[in-house]
Amino acid sequence: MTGRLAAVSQRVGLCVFAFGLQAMPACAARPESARTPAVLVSPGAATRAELERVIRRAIGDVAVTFADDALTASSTLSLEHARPRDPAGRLLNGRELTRPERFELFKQGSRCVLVQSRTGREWTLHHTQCVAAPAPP
Amino acid sequence: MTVFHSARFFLAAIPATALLCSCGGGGGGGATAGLSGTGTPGSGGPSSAGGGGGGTAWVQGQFSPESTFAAQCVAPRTGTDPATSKPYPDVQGTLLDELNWLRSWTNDLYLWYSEVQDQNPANFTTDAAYFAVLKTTATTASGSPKDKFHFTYPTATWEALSQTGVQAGYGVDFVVLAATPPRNVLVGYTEPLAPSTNLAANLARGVKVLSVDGVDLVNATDQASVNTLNAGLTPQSVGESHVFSVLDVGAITPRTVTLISADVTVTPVQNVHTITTPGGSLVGYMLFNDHLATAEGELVKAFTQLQTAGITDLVLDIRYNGGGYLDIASEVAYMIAGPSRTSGQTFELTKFNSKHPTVDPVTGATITPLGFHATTQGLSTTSGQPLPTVNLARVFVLTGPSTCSASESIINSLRGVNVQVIQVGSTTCGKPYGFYPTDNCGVTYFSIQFQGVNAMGFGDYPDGFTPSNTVTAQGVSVPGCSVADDFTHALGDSAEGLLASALGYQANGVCPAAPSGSAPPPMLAVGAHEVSLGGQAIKSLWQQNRIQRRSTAQ
Repeated sequence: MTGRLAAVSQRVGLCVFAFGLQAMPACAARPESARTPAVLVSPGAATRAELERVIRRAIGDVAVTFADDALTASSTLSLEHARPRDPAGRLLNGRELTRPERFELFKQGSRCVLVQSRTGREWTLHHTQCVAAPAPP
Repeated sequence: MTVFHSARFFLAAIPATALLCSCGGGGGGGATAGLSGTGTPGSGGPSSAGGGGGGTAWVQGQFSPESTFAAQCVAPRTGTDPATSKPYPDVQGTLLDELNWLRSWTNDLYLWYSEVQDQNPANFTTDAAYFAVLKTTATTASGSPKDKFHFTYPTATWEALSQTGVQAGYGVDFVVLAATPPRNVLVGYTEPLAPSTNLAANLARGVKVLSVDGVDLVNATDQASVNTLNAGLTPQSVGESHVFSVLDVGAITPRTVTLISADVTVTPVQNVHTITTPGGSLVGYMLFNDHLATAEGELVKAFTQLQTAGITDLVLDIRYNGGGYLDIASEVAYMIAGPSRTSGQTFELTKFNSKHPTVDPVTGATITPLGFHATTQGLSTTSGQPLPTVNLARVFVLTGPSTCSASESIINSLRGVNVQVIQVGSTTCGKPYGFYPTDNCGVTYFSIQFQGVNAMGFGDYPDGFTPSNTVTAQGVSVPGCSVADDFTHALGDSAEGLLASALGYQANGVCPAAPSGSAPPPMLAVGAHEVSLGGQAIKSLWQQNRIQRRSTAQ
């Protein structure tokens, strides 16, 4: 995680456009406090709706499904293609060479920041409360 | 009657109608007549392949580059392509353009392109019909079609993303032992904390399904009933309520439960524990059901546990594991065999057709072997962390017909570096192949493009791997025991048929007296009913219809 945080830190200075989302792009014109991996606190409908909007825009406005407890136990949200099966019940693509789409949630000062791992793009979530993620066992 | 509900949040339900019309392209996959019933989206319509357009005249054996015809569509899409974040490249074209693209694309990338009969696309009226003939008609040594994996899917549906391991369902995996009347459907396993395993539902392994929403699952023959059965067994969204009549193992009186589908989080690695044998050996066991991204972290945890325990043998239960991320298969193989056996070795080499011997024609990268990963790949963990290993020279694998693709790669790769694999169960599915799903005009095509081979260059197991004492061997013979799946015991129970046989073989190198597997199946008592082996597991969302009318069986 240290390496990832360093990478994120190096991206400070970039202003990433958020395609007109309510969630604003995280710009680095001001000093930034340290980031820590975070989890959502009691996410309600507004939080989930905001999360959905951000993710849909990030991945190209395709349908996305996630559980209502997403990002509450882990700071990482992993998304995969649907896994269709053939008539015999076998995965159509049982030899997958790609990687899942990952998002990570950070707490930075009072802000909750969602980062798309693949691109480094990030968004501040405004209808979301988060706290530092518990340390892994 | 008991009602369950799980309040998971469902952000964007994929329309079920998209699924129902999604299985048109194939043909190699099995008997779906009367169930799928509809063509591939984007196919058909009023256009005629012979209607002109930008295509060139067909000359047998002569192929223009696929780029000549790409994205020339009967119904061009507009807006932003989520795959590229750029506007769709689609322009107005004709059906003949779409078919010409399929023809050229197949000739360039299909693994067995030279075995495809070149047919004039102008003679076809849908892309689904044409795609169906763009494959080899050869058969394997067992007489099965050489290409059983030739499908299409609507691109919009294929591109949708779901949280890893979250799927609409009951958290129960049904195993279909007989898909036509008299049908036989049992519970194979369940997910922890899922609706199916709620204390009141208690759909444990071996529970037999007798009816769904009032339809006799065993004997119903009409299409409407079949549709009802499929809808109940494989809910496509959350909040669906279906009434089941089930018979518990050992019971004589059925009971009724109502299940309400929810977004269920799959636990791909379960029941990790050790077994001390009568001979004093410490044997590890784990049920590994899916190569999902979340499996990476669970596998690290499981192998760490077994490494710490100091096991001297491992039973890897992959009887219901249909594959997934190949990187995870590589990690598993490493965690079994350890660095001394795998360092610098090939886990799997991807081989394309003879036109592309050195460069991956899809990615443009030089083809290099995939090694055995000694560190995490970051699928659900922090990447680059050293993996644990139990460092064994042999492994017992429990298999069945649902053991497929990346799961078979574990077996093949370990055999490639001289790790002894003991197979217990029945023949695996036989899929040493893969593809890059490719979109054109809104349809995503699955056409076999590569084959995986191990460090010894071996990858020819289209009929699967078969335990060596199987009466009528189908696939590549592997030392071990042919044993019927045992639904009378929980998975991981030392008395369960496959695990018991593996432990017996571990102790004295002998299989149970009566080999089975692909031979005429023996019967195992389940409650008051008799079942046979060889079933495949219905697993999840996107499950295609599998309950069939007798008249449609093949």
